[in-house]
Amino acid sequence: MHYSARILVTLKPEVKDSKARVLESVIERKDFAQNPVCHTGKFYQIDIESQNSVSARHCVEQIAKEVLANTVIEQYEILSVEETGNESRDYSFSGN
Amino acid sequence: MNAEFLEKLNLTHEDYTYIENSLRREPNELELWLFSAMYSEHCGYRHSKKYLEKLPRTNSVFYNENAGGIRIGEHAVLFKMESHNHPSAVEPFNGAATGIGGIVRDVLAMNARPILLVDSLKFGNLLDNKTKYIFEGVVEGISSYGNCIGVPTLAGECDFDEAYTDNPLVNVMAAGIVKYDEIKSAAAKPGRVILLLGSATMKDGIGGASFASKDLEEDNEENKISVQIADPLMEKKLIEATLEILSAKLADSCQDCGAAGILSSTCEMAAKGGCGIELYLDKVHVAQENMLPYEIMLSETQERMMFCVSEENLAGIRQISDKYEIPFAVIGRTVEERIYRLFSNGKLLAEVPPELLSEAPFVFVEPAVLKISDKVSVEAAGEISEEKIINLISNPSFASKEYIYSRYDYTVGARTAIAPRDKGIGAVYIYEEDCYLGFATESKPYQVNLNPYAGAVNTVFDAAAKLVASGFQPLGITNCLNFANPNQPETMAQFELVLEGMTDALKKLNIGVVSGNVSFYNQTENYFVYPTPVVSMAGICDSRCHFISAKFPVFHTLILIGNLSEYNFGGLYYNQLYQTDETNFAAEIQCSDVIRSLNQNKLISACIRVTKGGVFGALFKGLDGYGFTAFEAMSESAWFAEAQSRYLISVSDADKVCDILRRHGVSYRILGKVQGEQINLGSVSLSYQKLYSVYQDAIPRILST
Amino acid sequence: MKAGIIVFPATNCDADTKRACEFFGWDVEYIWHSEKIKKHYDVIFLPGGFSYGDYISAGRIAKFSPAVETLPLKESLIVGICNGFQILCETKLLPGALTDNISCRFLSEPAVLYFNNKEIVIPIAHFQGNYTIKKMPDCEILLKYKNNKNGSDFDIAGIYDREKRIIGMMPHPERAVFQETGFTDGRQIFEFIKNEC
Repeated sequence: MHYSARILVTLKPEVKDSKARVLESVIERKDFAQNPVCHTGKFYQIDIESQNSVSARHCVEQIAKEVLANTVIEQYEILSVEETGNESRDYSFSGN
Repeated sequence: MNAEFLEKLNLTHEDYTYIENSLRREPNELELWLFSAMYSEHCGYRHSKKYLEKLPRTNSVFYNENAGGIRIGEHAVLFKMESHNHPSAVEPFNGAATGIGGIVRDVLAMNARPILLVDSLKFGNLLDNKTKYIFEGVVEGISSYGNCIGVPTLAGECDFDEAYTDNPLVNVMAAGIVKYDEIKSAAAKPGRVILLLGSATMKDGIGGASFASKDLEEDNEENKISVQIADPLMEKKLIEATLEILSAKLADSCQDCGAAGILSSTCEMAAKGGCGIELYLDKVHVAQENMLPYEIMLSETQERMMFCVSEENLAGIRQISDKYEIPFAVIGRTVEERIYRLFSNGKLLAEVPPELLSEAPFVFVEPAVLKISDKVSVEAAGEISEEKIINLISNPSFASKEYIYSRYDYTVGARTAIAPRDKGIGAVYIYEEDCYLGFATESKPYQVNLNPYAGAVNTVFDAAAKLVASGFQPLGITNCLNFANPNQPETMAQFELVLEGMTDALKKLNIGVVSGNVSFYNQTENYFVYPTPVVSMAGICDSRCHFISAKFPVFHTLILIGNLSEYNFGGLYYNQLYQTDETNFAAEIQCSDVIRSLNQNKLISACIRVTKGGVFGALFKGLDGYGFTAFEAMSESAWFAEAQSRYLISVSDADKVCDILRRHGVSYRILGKVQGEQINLGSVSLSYQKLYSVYQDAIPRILST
Repeated sequence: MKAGIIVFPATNCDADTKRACEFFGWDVEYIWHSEKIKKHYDVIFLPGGFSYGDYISAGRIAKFSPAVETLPLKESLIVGICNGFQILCETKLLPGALTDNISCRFLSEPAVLYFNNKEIVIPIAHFQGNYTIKKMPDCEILLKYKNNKNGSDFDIAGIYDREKRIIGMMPHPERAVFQETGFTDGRQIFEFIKNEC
């Protein structure tokens, strides 16, 4: 079966998020909002083939832990693992 | 005191007794945390400091400060190398990036504008997936941080060996320039306030100093929080703000916040200034709530600088910090009394003499008597084959490092005169003094492992030779000494012999050590890590027309000069066999003299030191689009052995040059001519273009598998 | 000839650009990013570097700075180099966008470029130098790569909108002015800039 997983990788809360600090300052300076609190991270969509939803989730978990995030400083959240049937893959996230 | 707590703090029972006796009372828990950090190997140089005192300091200035240097006219060039091995093993990107940040702040603290970076990197076997991950992370870390702060990474070296799989070596050097009479000391003056400028303090990197002072394999999971996070934007702002503050003479002294954070920087300032410091921990600007006093003191949050300033200059500093949008806080004051006191919300938390903290007791470990094996059985030389040559050329330790340095912005600053190239020297134009400053980096871990003394001598001479081969005169070195656990007598024996070797070599060259760093505990359960002293040597050249090229021009004759005695040494990258040859001091001096004289008379067109890959290695790296024809066949060991004290030079007028070589008493051998498309060694002939593409593609090809 | 150089936090080619301008005898002033531009300059440089650390995206945050918002368009010739080019594209003052190099790596090397139908060599050093535009931009192509390594459309390394009097380029001409660096082809770019002022 085909599965499509969406994963979010962010810095652990105790790790300095410099990009977020810069973002907060520009939001405030441009008067978009007062005292914003920002977090940054990376989003991934990964489509895989797997036996069933349990093995798919396990596989995604492994990828997230070992490839996408360095758990020393980052945490990951698997937003979703959805069955996409056998139809052709959607590459809309590849940017082309 | 509870033994478990002491062990957690990495303090011995002897340390505790010493502290208790010196204080004439029991230290409290916070005080023990302070001692734990300051008595760590990283901050306290506990096993090494007595040995380091013996190093020659010829020509070096300010070597007791954050970074020492060399005076050039009205200016000084300050430089220092430091290791960031353990953080890079755990979090390669941030580990390497914060290594750059830290070393840059060392020269910055003395009011020097950082102008170049050098790196020396050792990784495991590049075919290994873990090594690929660490390698990419480290290179990306150096690239993104160095590029952003606008300091060019100009030279370096990178080797791969299984030994470094779990314990990579990431040694980085920064050099800065400052007017000699504007160099800033770290010594605090009494009656001033202490000001912390830079990022808000967080819990990152707590215990980093003691972490770097432990074997990597120990409690890995728990250590993981000890890494520091890099913020190059803040660093760049901090560089500009610090230089503005110091050049406007708004501060009496300055110190970077490196290992052991606020504690180490303020304690050093007090100890150097012979005064005392009182800190108010509630005044420190923090980014996290509920930080404990010891966490605030030991945090290694990056991008912070400490200043000792008169109160009336605070307004001026505020203007600068506002301009750069950098937070700052007045966190304490200096006093006449030689005491280091910590308060929080008016409550006294700790009170110790600053010298007691900053002068960690020396730990003497009786060095073992090492067996130096002067003969390692080396197979009799065989036939030269294309396959063996391809193996050498495609070995990532030998192959082109363009994949690495093309990621470093090595031209920012518009000073770059010699860009990174495989010859291993980089140089900048010092327009302030109208001269060129070059840096060569060298390490010979395999040789040091077999024979620490000879290996160290060879390391120093090869660094000097790379400068000489480029037309530069050696000035001085900084070193980074990476060794295993100092409590092992063998480690200390290696350490002592390496320092002896370095000292003797430096004395022969009549130069000294300006600064340095010691990194112990480089060892892991699975691999033996080579003792790896790294040397980065500065050299000077007065004019571009005295540079010597590293590319042999077509139709020029190649001559091997120096120590030509018969050798049966292996070639590390050729047949993985090696011995430690001993530097021939007489040949070294003769060669450098004759190269200088040939260069002055414009009789030498290019020159390369013979190191990795032996004579063939030097030949190959010097070729530039054309092949080579040997005049006579030579043995395999003559081509590939990695013996010391030799250079390969190219000349257009061979007769005239040989005449001069004879007059100087320099041994030489005419090898052949640069020409055609083939590298023809007599017994074997190979296409230069084919070899060149193997050489260029080796590292990217391995990474893509 | 009066030149202004806008300096953002983590701009790192400001001093190099200043030295290069002074080599030609120009009068140079820095303009701090938080200041509005009120004086007259013949040319205003947005120099190379990592404005705001290139956090979020190269040039993204810098476009909100008062100096950029008050650029005296048409009155001064505006020249964006590397990060400056990225900022000018982010502000939409120049067409196209600069995205990650196709290698997804920083690229630092002396680049061979076509300028006025001649080959010149100028250093490049960027992570986001891949000039991306759907169709040929409606302005002059000032510089083209001989070996396009970053993936730029139409091999574009620099453009010049004559109408708006804005130049953007990825190569660093200020690093190829001084004899001591071994590269001097950047002088041709500065001479071109002078002629356009």
